[in-house]
Amino acid sequence: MKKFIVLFLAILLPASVAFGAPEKPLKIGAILNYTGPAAMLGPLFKNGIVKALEENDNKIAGRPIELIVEDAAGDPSVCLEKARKLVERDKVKIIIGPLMGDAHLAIAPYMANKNVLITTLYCGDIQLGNYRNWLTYPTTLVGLTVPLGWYAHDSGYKTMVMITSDYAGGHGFMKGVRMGFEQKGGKVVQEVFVPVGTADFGPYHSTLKDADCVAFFVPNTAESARLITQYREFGVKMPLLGTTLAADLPEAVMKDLGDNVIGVRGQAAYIWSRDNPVNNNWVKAMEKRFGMTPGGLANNSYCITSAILAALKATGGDESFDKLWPALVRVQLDTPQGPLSFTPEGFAITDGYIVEAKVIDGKYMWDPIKVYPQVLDPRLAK
Amino acid sequence: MKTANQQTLTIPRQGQRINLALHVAGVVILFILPAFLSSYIQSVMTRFLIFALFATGYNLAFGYAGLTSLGHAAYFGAGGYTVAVLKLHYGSDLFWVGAPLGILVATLVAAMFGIIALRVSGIYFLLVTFALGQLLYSVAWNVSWLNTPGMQGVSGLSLPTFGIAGFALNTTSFYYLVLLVCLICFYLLFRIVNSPFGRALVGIREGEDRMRSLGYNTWLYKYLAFVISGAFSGIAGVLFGYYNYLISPTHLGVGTSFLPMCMAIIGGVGTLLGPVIGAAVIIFVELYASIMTPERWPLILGGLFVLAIMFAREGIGVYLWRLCNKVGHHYGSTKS
Amino acid sequence: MEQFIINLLNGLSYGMVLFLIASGMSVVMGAMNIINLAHGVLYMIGGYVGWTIAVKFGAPFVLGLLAGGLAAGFTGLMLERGFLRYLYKQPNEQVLLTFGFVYILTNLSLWVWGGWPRMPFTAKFLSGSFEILGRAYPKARMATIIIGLVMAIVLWWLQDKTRVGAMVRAGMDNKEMAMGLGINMERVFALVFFVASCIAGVAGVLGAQLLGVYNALGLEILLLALIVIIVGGVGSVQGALLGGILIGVIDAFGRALFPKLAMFTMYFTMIIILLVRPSGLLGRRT
Repeated sequence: MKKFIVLFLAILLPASVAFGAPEKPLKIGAILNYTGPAAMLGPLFKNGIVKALEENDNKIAGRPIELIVEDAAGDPSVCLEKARKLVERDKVKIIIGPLMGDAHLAIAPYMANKNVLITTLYCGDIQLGNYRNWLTYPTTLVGLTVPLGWYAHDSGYKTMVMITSDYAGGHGFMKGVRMGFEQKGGKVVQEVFVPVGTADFGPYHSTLKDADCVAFFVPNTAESARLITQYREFGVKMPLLGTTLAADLPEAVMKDLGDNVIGVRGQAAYIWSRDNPVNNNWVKAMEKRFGMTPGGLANNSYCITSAILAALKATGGDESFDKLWPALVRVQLDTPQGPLSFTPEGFAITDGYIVEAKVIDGKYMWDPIKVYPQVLDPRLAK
Repeated sequence: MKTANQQTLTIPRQGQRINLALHVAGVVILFILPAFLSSYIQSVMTRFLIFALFATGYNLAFGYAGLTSLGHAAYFGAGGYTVAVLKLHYGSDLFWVGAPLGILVATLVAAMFGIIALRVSGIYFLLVTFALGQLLYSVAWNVSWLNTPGMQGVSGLSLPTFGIAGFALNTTSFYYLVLLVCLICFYLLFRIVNSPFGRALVGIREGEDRMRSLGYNTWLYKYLAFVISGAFSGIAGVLFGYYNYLISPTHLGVGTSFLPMCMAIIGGVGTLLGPVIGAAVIIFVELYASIMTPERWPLILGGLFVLAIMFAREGIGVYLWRLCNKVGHHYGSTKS
Repeated sequence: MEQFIINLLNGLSYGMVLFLIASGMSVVMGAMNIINLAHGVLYMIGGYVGWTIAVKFGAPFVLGLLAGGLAAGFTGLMLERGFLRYLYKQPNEQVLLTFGFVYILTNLSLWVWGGWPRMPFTAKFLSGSFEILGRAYPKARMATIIIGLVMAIVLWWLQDKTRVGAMVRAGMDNKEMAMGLGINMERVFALVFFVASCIAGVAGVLGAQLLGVYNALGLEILLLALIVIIVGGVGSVQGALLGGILIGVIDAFGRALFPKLAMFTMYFTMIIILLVRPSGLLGRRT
């Protein structure tokens, strides 16, 4: 009998707690990864959001802001569940996240007629622009990596081999590299598709053709680390160009990789060591608040939240979609990442950075070596 | 110590009345309660019903025939993908087309896989069904015809239409549709389980050699049980496709195949509706735990599994049922 | 020709890790009829502990191997003594219980070690490569092949040539008879489970040279182990070895020759084996 009651209460209590929710504050929902393969990213994204909110005293136009964070669990179906919960139960009008590409495309049809603003956390597919309620930051998949293609050509490389993680996100990112490279006259001589979660890159590294450089994208830290380590182990000499580097391989991880990572160059959306007054102040403030140097992830969520808050200021705290969206796409901010503005469809226009792994003052870090200003996906620039 | 599989279901006459009362009460609650709840809770309950159907259909093979399959998501997902492909390539979400076709596809897949899987038994059966499910998963991942461009899986699915002008389903009416389908299916399963066929399955589970020596074609019985349970899983999958707005390869893989198994075990394998309780437990606990603590909810869910096994060995459903019986018996004896 | 050798070596090194992963789980399945879904998590715990010892504290790699093995071994022992021993003939309950522990242990590992993955690491003297037929080949992989073979021999010897092994095999065939002969099956089982879990932990540290350690490993490794067991057959070290090598080599050649179909080759092999010999190549016919 006791066990029955305990079980019954265990299910009923949280249910009743979850039922009550006041209406007055301005609610912002967030779908972040706390469990699953990208579990370590959730807290980092949250830091950025929290910082932006705290800079506004957690208020906008006199209304207190309530942040509701849900776990994405790394599964598009779960993201959809949580999105439904946020929209239908919590009645939020603004959702930050989710992170993964297929989660976006999975929930976009559902979100299409809900008059809710929703954002990406780290790029999104160009299709999201069709829905006109998505904020795609920092740009599309292709827009993020096109500068790397340009850079490869600007470095004098004529031929390239691509290692692409075989899923939609991988195809999207590497498409940008190819587009940028071929746009300027380069030639991709081989594209090797590796399944998601590849443990052993040995078989692939042993079959790479000869080219001036090798560009790669694999979707997470563990895989990137394995790819690079095994690349060196197999003695491949071609220069390595990576994508989403600073996000996938933060400094702590670089230290673990040691000499293997030195000399790797590539694209990064944000780099903390970029010397710029807005950035320098922000980095110091983040270090003070959270006790660690911020990376691209915290920066992304910070900039997104800041843009939303700026738009809310412009509407006087009115979060209804018809007022918020036009205000949002008109926002222009000087962010730690660089100057930020938006296209009418909601694509962010940001600077693209090329970085190189170096040891500076005994610390492993990504050094920005080139910037391509105000990058836009070539398919948008009509 | 009796395992869940070995328990017998002798229902005393008093218990029969209580049994019926419980079932009627349950159905009434499922009909009335959601009308007072928000559309969000209604959609959670829809999800619960779909998985309750999946788990109960699965249990026909698992609990009644003793076939431990770790690949039933293949049939569930087959139903869902049929709905998805119809929408993706033919723009149709007509229920009259999607549902029968989905069930047909799921049944065919179960029929094919059943032939392969039933060549072995025990742990090998588990491994083979797992392998077949994973094969379908990798097909769905790689074949571009089965994917919306730009992602893995198919998105943009919607609630079914009926070709009746001016009539469109919403969350509430879809819930009642799902409830209706589930009630029909549960009734069918009830008839199957209580028929000579169903009783033969239990006999085969308890002692296949004995049944064979009595002249039963045990392979055929097991095969039919497998295919029928696949068909019901397919029905659940079809409903899921309409409900979930998206279908992805994970819905064919072992991660989804685990769910009906866990639900059946937690709820009670030896009963028809035990899996329904199991579905309720797992779905609601997982949802509310992850809302309460986005970071630590797996501890709660895992802990629940462990506690359920250690303390409610024959399943929470059976435990509850026995409890209600005890209560009823107490009142019954004082009445008469 | 060199390419063929390189592919073969890649397949063998990966295959050895697969063998180690699967051998523990397979023997436990065969000897005790226990399905331990938490086996992959034991591998992961071994890897994490090995990392903590070898990288965080900078101790010698061998110490990391030992620590990882023991950590996994004791976790497994706790699982067996505390929970599984009550569920000996109940596979359904075992499935749910061990699955529950997968959730619990994975989340606890996430809590302790955090979400960031650990990079591949190895012993100082094993880092770097040496030359084979004019191509560079990583020393650590070669070492993995050798260590794997050594362990295979040790395990085979334990299984076939020692009294304990005989007791286990007797218990596998007929538990009551073995007990009637005076063998304390409880103790034997606990020992087998402990050793199997230790092997999983050691596999975790060895595998970490190739894969690193990260939180999703628990389920990924389980899947791989199941595939190897399907192919090689349940219950024997030889089966796990054959299955591991076969899968490893097919996977390596598959990736090198048909990169687009990589995921397929493994599942395809599985299905072919299942159609031809459903109990696995060296499995005992049920």
